[in-house]
Amino acid sequence: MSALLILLACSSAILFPWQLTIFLTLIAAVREPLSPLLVGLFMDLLYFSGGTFSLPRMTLLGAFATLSLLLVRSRLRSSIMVR
Amino acid sequence: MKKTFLTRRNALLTPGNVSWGWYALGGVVLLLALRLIAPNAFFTLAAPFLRGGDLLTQKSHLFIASIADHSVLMERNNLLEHENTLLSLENQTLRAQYAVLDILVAGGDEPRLVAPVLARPPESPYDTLLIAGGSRAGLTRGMEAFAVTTGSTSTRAPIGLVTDLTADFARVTLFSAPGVRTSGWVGTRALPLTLIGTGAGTFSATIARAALVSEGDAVFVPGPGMLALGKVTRIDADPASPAVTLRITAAVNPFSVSLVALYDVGTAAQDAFRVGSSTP
Repeated sequence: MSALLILLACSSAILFPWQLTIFLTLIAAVREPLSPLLVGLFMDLLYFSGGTFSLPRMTLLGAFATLSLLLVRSRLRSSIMVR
Repeated sequence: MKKTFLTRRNALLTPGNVSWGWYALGGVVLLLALRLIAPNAFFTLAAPFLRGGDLLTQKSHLFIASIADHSVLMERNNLLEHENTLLSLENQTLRAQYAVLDILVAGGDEPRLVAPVLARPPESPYDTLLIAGGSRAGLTRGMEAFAVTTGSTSTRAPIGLVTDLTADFARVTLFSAPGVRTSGWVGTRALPLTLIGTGAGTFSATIARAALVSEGDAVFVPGPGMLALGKVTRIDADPASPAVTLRITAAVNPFSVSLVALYDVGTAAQDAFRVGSSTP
């Protein structure tokens, strides 16, 4: 299921508007926290133009989302263990 | 004596921890390495997928259009036919003027290259076009891209500049890319202004209220002469401020550009085109 969601989010980067890609990535992120980072990286691979923009925004946004998700997951896990 | 061998485990990464995400991330990192080492090979690999995506988008647009309400379409068709007649007359007048101007302005009318678009907004979040033409075909960084309507290569609607180049592919950053600033003019009096890209073929610009710019005024950017980029669609005015904010829409919808013509327009357009973050 995770693989399918990741594949769908990556395909969306080529087929659909970027807003929908972000939406699908967030759905995939529920199962796989790494998906925002890899989809952001994939979008920048295709569309980022280093000559014009100083920062690969999609990768940074994805990294931020992944870190946040990992943090939330670790908190949830520890709180479950305490109980 | 019997010896027991235990497999050595990595404390951070045990086989049970490796999910599909890690595999996919590894794949994307490999693609990143390929993109950095051999960008042309990367885009050669990606081009069939991008073309497939483009074809699917076009087919889906046609399908949606075919199931739309026919009475609304007929009404719209009549309106467009009427507008088309008016525009045709205006076009003839402008062509006559253009022929004279073209003689005065240096540079030929023939495009250096007409290239198909592989990827465009809204798939691209940066308002960039990926085109199937590169340095091998004679493209250089800084060339100005013009939208080509189907069946005609003489359209002169500027859309952006070539900012990234490989042997067979190039990226065109649209004038409307968020944060990109372009110097231009507005109205028949050619008042100078700085256009700030706001994404998806739209711009904003601030100008003095006393300039008396009105809705519908054409906006121009440099190229071979003054090229109509779009028009003023809304004016936001604060009664307390001496300036007004112009909301400008590009003449060409960047979502539907399928072909671009590329011209070497010298340094005028390049000088007018600046990235917002690099300017004070």
